[in-house]
Amino acid sequence: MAGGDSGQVDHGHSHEGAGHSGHGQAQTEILMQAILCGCLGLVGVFLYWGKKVEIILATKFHNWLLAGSITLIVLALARIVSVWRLTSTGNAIAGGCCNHADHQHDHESCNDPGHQHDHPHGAHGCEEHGHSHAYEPIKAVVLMIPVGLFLLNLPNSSFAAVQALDLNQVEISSSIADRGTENNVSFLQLERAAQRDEARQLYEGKTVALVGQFQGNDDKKFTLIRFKMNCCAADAVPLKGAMFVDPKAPAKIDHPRWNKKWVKVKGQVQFIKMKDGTFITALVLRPKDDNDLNGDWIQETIPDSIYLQN
Amino acid sequence: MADTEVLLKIKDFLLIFTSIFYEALPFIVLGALIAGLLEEFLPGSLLARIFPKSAAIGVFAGGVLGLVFPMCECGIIPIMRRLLRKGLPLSSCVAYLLAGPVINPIVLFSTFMAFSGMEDTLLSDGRSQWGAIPMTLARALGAYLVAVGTGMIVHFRFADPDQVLAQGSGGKNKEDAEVKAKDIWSRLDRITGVAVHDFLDIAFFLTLGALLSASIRLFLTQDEISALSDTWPILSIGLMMLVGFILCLCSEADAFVAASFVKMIPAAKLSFLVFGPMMDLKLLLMYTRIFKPKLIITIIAAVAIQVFAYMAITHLVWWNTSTQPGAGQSQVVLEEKKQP
Repeated sequence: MAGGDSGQVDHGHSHEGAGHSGHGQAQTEILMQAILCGCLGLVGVFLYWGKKVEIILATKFHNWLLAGSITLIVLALARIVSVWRLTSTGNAIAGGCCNHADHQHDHESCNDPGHQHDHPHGAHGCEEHGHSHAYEPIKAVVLMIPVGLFLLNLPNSSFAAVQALDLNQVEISSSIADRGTENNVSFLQLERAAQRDEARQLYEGKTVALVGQFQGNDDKKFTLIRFKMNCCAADAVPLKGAMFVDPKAPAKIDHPRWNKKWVKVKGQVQFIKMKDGTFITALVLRPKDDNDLNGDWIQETIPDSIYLQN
Repeated sequence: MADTEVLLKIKDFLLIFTSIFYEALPFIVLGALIAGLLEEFLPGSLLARIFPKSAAIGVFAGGVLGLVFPMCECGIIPIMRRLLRKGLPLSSCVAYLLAGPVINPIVLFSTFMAFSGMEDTLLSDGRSQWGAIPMTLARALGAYLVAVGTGMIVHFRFADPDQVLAQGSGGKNKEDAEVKAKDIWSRLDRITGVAVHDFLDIAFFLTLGALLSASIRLFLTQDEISALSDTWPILSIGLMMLVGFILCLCSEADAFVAASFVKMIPAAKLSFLVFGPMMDLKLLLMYTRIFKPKLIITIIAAVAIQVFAYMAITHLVWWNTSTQPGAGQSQVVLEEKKQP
């Protein structure tokens, strides 16, 4: 149990009187760490329980978060119980990185002549090896950020600052033949189809219904936005569809009514080539009048899921 | 109006931050728990017996250790730190740390799925994109070679690993668990002590990294990334390495994001997929808990140079082997980009 090469493992002496805080402070520190873990675990459970996790994570990660959060709570409780049990029986406590449980004796009782301390006692131990075990408020503050956000009910919605498509220079074709209605076509399918010639030909001219968020302030066109997500909101990619009312139709979009809302839009599929060479998905709405447009072709809806997932 | 826009940006910032944090959280908990168990139950002597004695073979073995301990880039850090303390050579640990997040079954499968069908997409000059098999193989090979290369550099450059390890990471804690015969409470104390310590230590830097990444993401959207790579196609390899560094995506998800850049050359997408899981903002901060700055700088330089070189070679291979125009396939002309 020599004090050793690094001075951090098996120091061979107790914390008291050697520059470390006493056991009382060590227990406070351990309690603070356990509470921090417990808080983060509880927040994870509440996010899952309150379904807020749907805003931030893909479905496949929901159970992971729940399991991780419960593990964290159990870990915190186990830590408190084990420390309480050991201190009540007079044993030393493990400190995590430094394995202070190995300090089974203090200096006064250290009579082993072969027991070498090759580090200065005044500043030995964890401080010597580059970090302090003293309670670190800055760490606690940073780690409480997610807890604080949860208490403030943040985040409480999906992406808010998404740019709509610039549809001013975009023109729709009037020569696309009607090829009937196709049910169960998703935004994802059309987005993928837009990248391939054969797939574009497959869908073009068909009437489909898409669900997304309305964005725009024009009475003849708007952008329909839906995010696709793989794991979490950080990797979410916006899918944008251009929605046009047939120029020949007299109807106008009631955009103040729909803006930022979830809507289901029915229209005929077209793929429009943009300036940069990419194709975007467009739907052309052919209503009889305003009521038909703002009631049948555009309807308010509640999506099954905020994000489309691969 | 401007106030509303700022408010919306702040909301998006919080959304990205929390999503990065909570996606990584369960894996850091798992990594910390495994670290606690390793600390208590894995005797250093056993590791010394089963791991190759030769440093070079050890580095090659470290590169595929991810198949044995499949963990994401966040969860791998506490495990690696404990393996280091148990006496696993630094060079092998570095190879495991860098290759592990890519060379594991889940990540390779997600890469395969993300690029399925991509071979049907052609660029303006008629060259085809790489599909699932070449992209998956190129990613795995690239990650392995870069990880092993970096492990070798670390081995030859740092004769005494303790000089470049952050305190608490090295120290040759080879005291075997069986030597410290203890009752169940002492064992529980040690396991929970290590797990809680490691979790908080890494979670602190995860939080900082997620905050930084979310801040930068406010100013760098997917559209802007696409526009940048279009403007400088030759530099897109370096650009995508930078994007991988900033975005801090999970290695399981990044392939789907890369696949969404349909106009980008395969080497640029691969640079994002190989560099990102090895080095990103949050990982950089987490690495400071294990390595000293000297070693971190060496790893960054080694990884960046090797990834760039590997991608340059990959680009040449793709350029010379990809489908030429008029080969009988239908073409999706996506852009008028000129290739080198």
